[in-house]
Amino acid sequence: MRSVNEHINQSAQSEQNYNFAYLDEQTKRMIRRAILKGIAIPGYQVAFQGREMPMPYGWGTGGIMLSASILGPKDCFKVIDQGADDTTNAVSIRQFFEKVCDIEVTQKTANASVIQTRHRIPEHSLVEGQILVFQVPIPEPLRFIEPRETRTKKMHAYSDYGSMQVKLYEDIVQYGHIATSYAYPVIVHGRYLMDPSPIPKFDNPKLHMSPALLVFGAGREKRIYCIPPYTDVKSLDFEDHPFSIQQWDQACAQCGSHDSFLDEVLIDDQGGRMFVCSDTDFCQQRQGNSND
Amino acid sequence: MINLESNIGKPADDEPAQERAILKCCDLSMLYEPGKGFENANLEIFSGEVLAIVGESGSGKSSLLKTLSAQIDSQHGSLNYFPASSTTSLNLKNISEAKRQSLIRSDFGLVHQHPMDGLRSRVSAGGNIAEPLMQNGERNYEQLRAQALHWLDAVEIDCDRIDDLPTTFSGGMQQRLQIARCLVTQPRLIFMDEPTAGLDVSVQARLLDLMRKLVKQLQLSVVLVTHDLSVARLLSDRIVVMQKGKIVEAGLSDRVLDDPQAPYTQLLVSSVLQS
Amino acid sequence: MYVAVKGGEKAIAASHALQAKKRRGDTKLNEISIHQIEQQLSLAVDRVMTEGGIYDRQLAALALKQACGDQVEAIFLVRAYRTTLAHIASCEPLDCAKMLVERRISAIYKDLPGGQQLGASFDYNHRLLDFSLMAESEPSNEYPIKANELEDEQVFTKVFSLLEQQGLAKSEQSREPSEEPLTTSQSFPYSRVERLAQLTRSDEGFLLALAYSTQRGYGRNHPFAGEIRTGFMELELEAEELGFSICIGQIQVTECEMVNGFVKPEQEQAHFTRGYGLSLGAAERKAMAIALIDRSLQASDYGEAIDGPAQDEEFVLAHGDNVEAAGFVSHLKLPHYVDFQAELELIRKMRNTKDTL
Repeated sequence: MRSVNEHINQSAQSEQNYNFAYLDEQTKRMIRRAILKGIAIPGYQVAFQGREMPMPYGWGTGGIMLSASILGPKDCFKVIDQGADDTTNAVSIRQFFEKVCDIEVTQKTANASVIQTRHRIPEHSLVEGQILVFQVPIPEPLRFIEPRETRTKKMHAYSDYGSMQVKLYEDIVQYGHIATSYAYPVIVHGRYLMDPSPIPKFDNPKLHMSPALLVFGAGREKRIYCIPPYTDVKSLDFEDHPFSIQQWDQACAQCGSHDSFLDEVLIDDQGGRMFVCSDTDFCQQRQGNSND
Repeated sequence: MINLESNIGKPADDEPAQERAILKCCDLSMLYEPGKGFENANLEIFSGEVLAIVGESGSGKSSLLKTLSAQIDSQHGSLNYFPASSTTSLNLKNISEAKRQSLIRSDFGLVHQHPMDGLRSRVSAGGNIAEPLMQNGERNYEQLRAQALHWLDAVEIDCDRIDDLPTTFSGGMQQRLQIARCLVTQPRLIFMDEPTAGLDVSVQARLLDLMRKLVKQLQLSVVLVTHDLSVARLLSDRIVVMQKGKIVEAGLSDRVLDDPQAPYTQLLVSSVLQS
Repeated sequence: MYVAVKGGEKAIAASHALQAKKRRGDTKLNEISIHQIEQQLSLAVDRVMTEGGIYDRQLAALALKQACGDQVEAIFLVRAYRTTLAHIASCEPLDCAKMLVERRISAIYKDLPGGQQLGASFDYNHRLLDFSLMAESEPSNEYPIKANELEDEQVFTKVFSLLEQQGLAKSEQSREPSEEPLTTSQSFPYSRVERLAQLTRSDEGFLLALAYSTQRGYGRNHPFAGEIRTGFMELELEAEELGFSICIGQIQVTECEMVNGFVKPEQEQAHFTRGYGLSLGAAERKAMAIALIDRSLQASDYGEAIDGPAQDEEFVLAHGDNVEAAGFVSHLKLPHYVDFQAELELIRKMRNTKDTL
C-alpha cells in the first residue's frame, strides 16, 4: 500500500502517468482484435473484456474504448453528440482525449480521420479511410423481444428474426405504418440483424455501402460490432410498406438546407418553434463559417 | 410464397395415403434416469398418416415426441428424416444444430399442450399466424394479412378477431389459433402434445372435429401424443402404446383398440370401457 | 433570434468548480482528513473497497471524500482507478481457516470449538441516537491502534469443516491459482468462481433485496447462518523464482457460509447444500447477502425450479453492478433531442393521419 504522501506526489504528475489514450497497450490490442473479428463477421456482436473508464457507463464508454484503441499520434479526432460538436458530453470526451493523448482535434467532418458519435451520422459524406465510432447503449436489437442473452445468441445463430419482423407488422396493424423512428433495425450483409445504435432512421441509408469503416462499441454491455466499408445494409420493411426516412416541410432556419436532419427548437412560451440542422458543422459550412 | 388456393377446400382424397416413410427411428433411447424417458423405440411415420402415441403419464410418450421432433437429443439409436426434395434421408443426430433448426422451421410443426407456449402473448392473432411466414422470408404485408385471414377462417375463428391479442381468446380459441400458426407454413410433419388435454369436454369435441377435418382435407402427417384413447380412436390411423418407457404394442388403430394383444393395452382399453 | 447553445466547455468547468466548493462546505470548519474517514467511517470504507475491487483503505477514504460521501460515486472512482493498474500477479487462494478471527458467530451450534466470539457489532445494540457523540472529543491515548494488535486474535476451526467431517456437507475446491485473472464479458453461464467474484463487486442494496426475496418465498433455499467470521488473512504469493510462497501483506475480510436445505442424490447420502460469500473489511451484511444468492443461483445444479429473480443468473449478474447501473440510469440526463425529434415527427404524422380520418 502506498502512503498518502506518495499519492500526493504522484498526483502532481498524474497526467503523464497514463498511457497514450489512457488504456494500456495490452487492453488496446485486445479491443483491436475484437474489432478485427467484428469486421470479419459484419454485424455480429463480439464480446470483449470491457474496462471501467473514468466516465460513467452509458455516457459513451464503449465508443471511448474503441477510439482509445484505434487512435494514433497522427490522427485527427472529431466528437459529436446529437450531431453537434459543442454539446457538453462531446466537449467532455474531446477534452479527455486531448488530455490523455494530445492529438489534433477538429470540428470539420472532412478533416477528421476518426469521428466518435452519439445518435447521428454526419450529413457530409464520409470517405474511404475515415472511421466512424458509434456509442451504443443496448447492442442487442432483439433485447426488447427477448431479454435473455442466452436466447438472443441462439436467435442470431439460427437467423431466427421472424419476431423482429412481427414487431413491424404489429406497428402497421396499430398505426398504419412502421412506428420505429430511431435505432431502426437493419440486416447487415444479408446475415446479421443489427441495432445501428439510436441514430434516427434518417441516417440508416448512410450505413449502406459506406466508404468509411463503421465501428460500434457498447461499454456497459461489453460488445463490439462493425460494418466494413462498402457493405450491404438493409433496413427491415415490407414490400408494400417500404422503409422511408423523416422529412420536414421546413428548411433549416440558419442555412436553408432541405435535406438534413433538423432539430426543433422552442423559441418562446407560446409554442413558437423553429428548425435548425442537428449537424452543426454541416450547417456552419453551408453558412460559410469555419471553426478550425 | 404460399398459394392461397390451398387444398383446404378440396374434397378428401379417398385414395390410401402414400406408403412412404417421412421419419424413421431405430433403437432410439433417451433415459434421463432409470424409469424416466424411453428406450429402444423403433418407429416409422408415413406420409399422410396420423400416428398416436398413447400411454399414461410418465410412460415416456412426451419424451419420445420431443426426441422425434428433434427438440431434444437422444442417447442411442438413429433418427432419420426423408426430405421431400431428396431421395436420401438425413440423420437428424448428425447434422449441425443450425441445419436442424432450419429443417424444423421449414418442415416440422409443433402444437403444444398449453396454447400460450406456442403463441406470443403480446402479438395479435394475425401477427402470430404471420410470424412463421415472415421467418421464412415473406415480406408483403397484404399477403401476410390475407394468409392470416385464410387460416383464421380455416380454424373457425371469426376474422374480426385478427388484430386481437390471443390473451383475450378462450382456451379453445387459443388452441385453434396455435394450430393455425402451425399450419400456415404447410409443414410436412406435425407433432402434437396432448392438444385437447386442457380443455372442457364440449370444447374438446369441437376441436377434435376441426382437427379431423383438417387432417383429412390437408392430408397432414401427424404424430399425436395423448393419454386419451378416444382422441386416438377419433384421429389416428395407427397407435403406438407405451408403458414404462417401452413400446409395448403398435398397429392399426382399430385393431389395437378392438383386439389389444399386450396385457397392458388390454388393461388400458378395458379401463376406458368401464369408465 | 435563436443562437445555438455554445460554451459547453465553460459550463463544465464552472460546474466542477461549484461541486468542489460544495464538497468543502463551510471553510470555517476543519477539512475532514482521509485518515479520519478511514478510521471513523470504516464501514463506508469497507463497502467502497469491496465494490470498488481494490483493497486500499486510503484510496477508498479519498474516494469517499472526493465523492462527498456518495458511496456509488466513490466506488466508481475506485473502479476507474483500478482500470489503470497493471495486473502483476495472482495470490494464492485465501484459506479462511487460517484467519486471525476478530468475530466469529454460528447460528447452528450453541457452542463449538473456540466458542462464539461476538467481536465488534451493531447486533443487540438498541438503535437509540447517542447524543453524546455530538460533542467532539479531543485526540487522546485512550485507544491508539497498536502495531501488534493482531497478536490477541486466534485461529478457529471452521464450522463447515465439522459438517464435512461427518459427511453432512460436501467440501468445496478452491480455484487453481494459475488460471487467468477473472474478467467479465457477460458470457453466460458464468462459472461459480466468476459468479462469486462478480457478486462481491455487486451493489449491496441490490443483493440485500434479492437475498431478502429468497426468504419471502421467491426461490426459498432454507438457510442457516453456518458461520460468519471477520478477521485478518495473510496474502500469499508464490514467486516463480523462489518456488515457495511468501506473505505480501494482510487484509481484513468477512466470510459467510450458509447451510442450506439438503438434497438426496441418487446413490449418495443426503447432505446439506451451501452458499458462500466473501467481502473485504467488515462488510457483514454484504457477505450474508452474497451467500444467500450464491445458493439461490445453484438452483439448476440441484434440478430446482427457477421461479424467483434471485435464482436467475442472467437477471442477477447483468443488473448487480452499480457502476454499470448508475451510469446507464444517469445517462438519461444526456441530450436525446435527435431521438426525441424523431419521435415528435412520428407522433405528429400519426396525429395528422387521425385528423384526416
